[in-house]
Amino acid sequence: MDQAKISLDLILANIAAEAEKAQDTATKASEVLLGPLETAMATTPYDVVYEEDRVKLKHYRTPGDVTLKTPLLVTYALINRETMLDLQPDRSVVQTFLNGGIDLYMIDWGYPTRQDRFVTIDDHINGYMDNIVDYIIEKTGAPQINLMGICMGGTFCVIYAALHPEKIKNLITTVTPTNFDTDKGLLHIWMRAIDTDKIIDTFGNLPGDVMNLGFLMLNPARLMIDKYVGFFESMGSKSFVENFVRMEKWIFDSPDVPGETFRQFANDFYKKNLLIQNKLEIGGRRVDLKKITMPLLNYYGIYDHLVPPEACNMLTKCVGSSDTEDVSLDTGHIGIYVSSKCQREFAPKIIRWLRERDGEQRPVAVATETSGEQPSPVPRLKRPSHPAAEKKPARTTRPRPEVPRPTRKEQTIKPSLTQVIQETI
Amino acid sequence: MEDNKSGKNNMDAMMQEWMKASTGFWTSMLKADPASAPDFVPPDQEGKKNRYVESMEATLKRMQSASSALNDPQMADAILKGLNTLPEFFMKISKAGWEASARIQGKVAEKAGKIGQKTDAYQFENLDQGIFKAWREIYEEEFSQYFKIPQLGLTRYYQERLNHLLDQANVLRPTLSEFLYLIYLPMEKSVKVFQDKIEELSKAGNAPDKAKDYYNLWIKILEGHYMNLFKSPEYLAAMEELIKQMEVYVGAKNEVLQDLLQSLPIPTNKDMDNIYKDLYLMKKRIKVLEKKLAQKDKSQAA
Repeated sequence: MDQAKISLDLILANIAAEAEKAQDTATKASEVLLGPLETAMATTPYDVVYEEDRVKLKHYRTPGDVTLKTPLLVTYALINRETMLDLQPDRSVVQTFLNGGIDLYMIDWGYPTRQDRFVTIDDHINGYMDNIVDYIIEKTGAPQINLMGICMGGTFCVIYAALHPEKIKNLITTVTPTNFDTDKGLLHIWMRAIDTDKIIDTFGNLPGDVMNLGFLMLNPARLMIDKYVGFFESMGSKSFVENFVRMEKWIFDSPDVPGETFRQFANDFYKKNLLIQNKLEIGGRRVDLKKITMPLLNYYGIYDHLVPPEACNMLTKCVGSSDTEDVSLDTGHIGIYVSSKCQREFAPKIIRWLRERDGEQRPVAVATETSGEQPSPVPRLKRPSHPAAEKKPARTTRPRPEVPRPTRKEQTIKPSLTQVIQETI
Repeated sequence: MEDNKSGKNNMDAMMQEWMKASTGFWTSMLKADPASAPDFVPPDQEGKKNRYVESMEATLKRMQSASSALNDPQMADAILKGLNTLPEFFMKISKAGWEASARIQGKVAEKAGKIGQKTDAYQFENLDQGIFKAWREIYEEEFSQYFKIPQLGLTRYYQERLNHLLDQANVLRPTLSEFLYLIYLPMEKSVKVFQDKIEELSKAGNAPDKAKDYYNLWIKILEGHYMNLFKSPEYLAAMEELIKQMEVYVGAKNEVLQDLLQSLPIPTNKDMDNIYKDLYLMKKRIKVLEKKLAQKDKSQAA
C-alpha cells in the first residue's frame, strides 16, 4: 500500500492556526451580531401615485433635475420583489437612474392572496400595466414612455410592447425569458416535467415558499451549504453581515404567484413556447413580436442558471425593430443588478442608451390585430392610437443610430459559482 | 373428535344459560323501575298504555325469541360458525402484514449485500430504488384495498373521504422517503469520490494542507453530483411523483377539513373561491364599464 505523502506536523500546525483564526472570527462576529445592524432595504424615497387592487405605482423623488424627457416605467417579475433594484444605497439601480436624470416609475405588484387566484396574465398586462401606462402618459404629458422589464416582468413588457407599441418609445429587457425551448436551465427542464394544472387546482396560488424551495433545490450545494459557510467565515465583518442579511431578506420575501397567471405562464410559455413563435394569445389578441418596432436593448447574464442566455438572446432577432442590441454580462441572474462590477456597467449604460434615443419621435406600428377565433372574455377598449402612428407606415425603417455596439465578449475563464455568489453578496 | 363435540355442546349450553340469565335480569330490572310500573300513566295520556313499558316489553320479547332460536342447535351452530370466521379475517390481514414485512426484509438484505460495491462518480443511472417500489407494490396489493371498501349508510361520504385521506397519507410517506433518499444520494456519493480524490492527491504528494481547500474540493464534487442527479430521468420521475402525491394528499386533506368546517360557522376554501370568482368577474366588468364611461365623457366634453 502506498504511503500518503502528507506531513502530519504541517496538518497539525494548520489546524492550530485555523482554530485561532476561527476564535478571532467568533469574537468579532459576536460583537457584530449583537450590535446594531443597518439592514433596511429600498430606502430611496418615493410616492405611491396610483393604486389598483393590490398593485401600486411608485414614483421616485429625483434628487436633481429630470434631464430625460421620457419617463421610465420599470416592471418587475411577479416572483420576489422589486426592492432588489434598491437593495442598498451604494448598490441601487434606482439611485443610479435618478442621478442620471430619469423620471422613474416602478410597479409594485404587492402580495397576491387567495382572492387573486383568478387574475390572469391578460389582467396584468392589458389591465394593470395598461392603466398604469395611461396614468403616466396623462400625468406627464409625454406621448410615450420608456419601458423596462425584469425577468418575468420583462416578458410582460415584451407582450405589452407588441400589443400597445404606440405607447412605448424604447424597450429594455433584462434577464427576460422569451424562448423557453431550451434544456440549459434546470428550471426549464423541471417546469416541463411538473403538472402545473394540478398544483394550481390544489393550492389556488403558487405559494412563495414552495417556489423558493424550488429555487434552492436548483443548486443545494451552493445555496444551502456553501452560502452559509461563507457567511460563517466572514461574519466578523459588519458590512458583509449587513449586505448578507439584506440579500436574505430579499430572497425570502416571496409573494405567492396568482394561480391562473402561473398556469398560463407554465403552459403557454414553458411547455408550448408560444411567445417566440408569435402564437401566443393574450386577452384574445395574438402577440406578434414583429409589432415591436421601437428600439430594444436586451440584457442577460452569461452565468444565469434561472434564465440562461439561450432563453434571452433570440428576442432581438424576432422583433420588428432594426435598432436592437444584445448585452451579455459575465454574471448570474441577480448579479446584473446588485454586483459591484455590474453596477458600473449596467445602469449607466441604460441611461446613455435612453439619452441617445430621448429626443426624436419615432414612427410606430399600431397593434390592432385580433385573432378572431377566441374573443376576449371582456370587451377591450379601443384606445386612440398615437397621432404619429396614423400618418406613417407601420414598419419602421429607421437607420441604426451611431451607437458603439459592444461586441459579445468571448469568455475564456469562467468564474466559479462561489465567486459569482460572493460578488453578488 | 369426541372432544370437539363435547366442546360444542358445552358452548351451546353456555349460550342458552347466558340468554336466560340476561332475559331474566332485564325482566326484573323492568319491574323495579317505577316509571315502568304498569299502572303509571302520564296524566295527559290517560286510557293509554305506558309507552316505556310497551317498548321494554317489545325488547324483552325479541330477546326471548332470540333465546329460543338459539336453543335450536342448527341456529346456534350457524352463529358460532360466523364467529369463527372473524379470526380468519384478522388472520388474513396479519398474514398480509407478515408477508409485506418479509418482502421488505428481503429487499433490505439485498441492498445490504450491495454495500461496499463501487460507486461511480457522477453516475445516477440504475439507481437502487427497488425498496420503495416494493413497498409501493405491497401497499397497493395488500393494504390499500382496505381503505377502498365501499362505505354504507348516512355517513358513507364522510367515511369515504376520511379513508381516502388515510390511504393517501400512506402513499405519500414512501414517495417522500424515496425523494429524500435521492436528495441524500449525492452526499453519499460525493464523500466516497472525495475520499478517492484525496487518496489520489496524497499519492501524488499534492494533498491540500488547508481545511478550506478540502472543503472547496468536496463542495465542488457535491455540486457536480447534484447537477447530474437533477437532470437524471430518475430524479425527474421521483419529483413528478412526489408533487402528484402531495397534490392528491392536500386535496384529500382539504376535503376532510371542509367536512369538519361545515359544522362550524367558518367558510371553506370552496365557499371563498366561489365568492372570489364572482368578485373577480364583477370587478373586471366594472373596470370596463368605467373606462367606457370615461371615454364617453371625454368625447362629449370634446
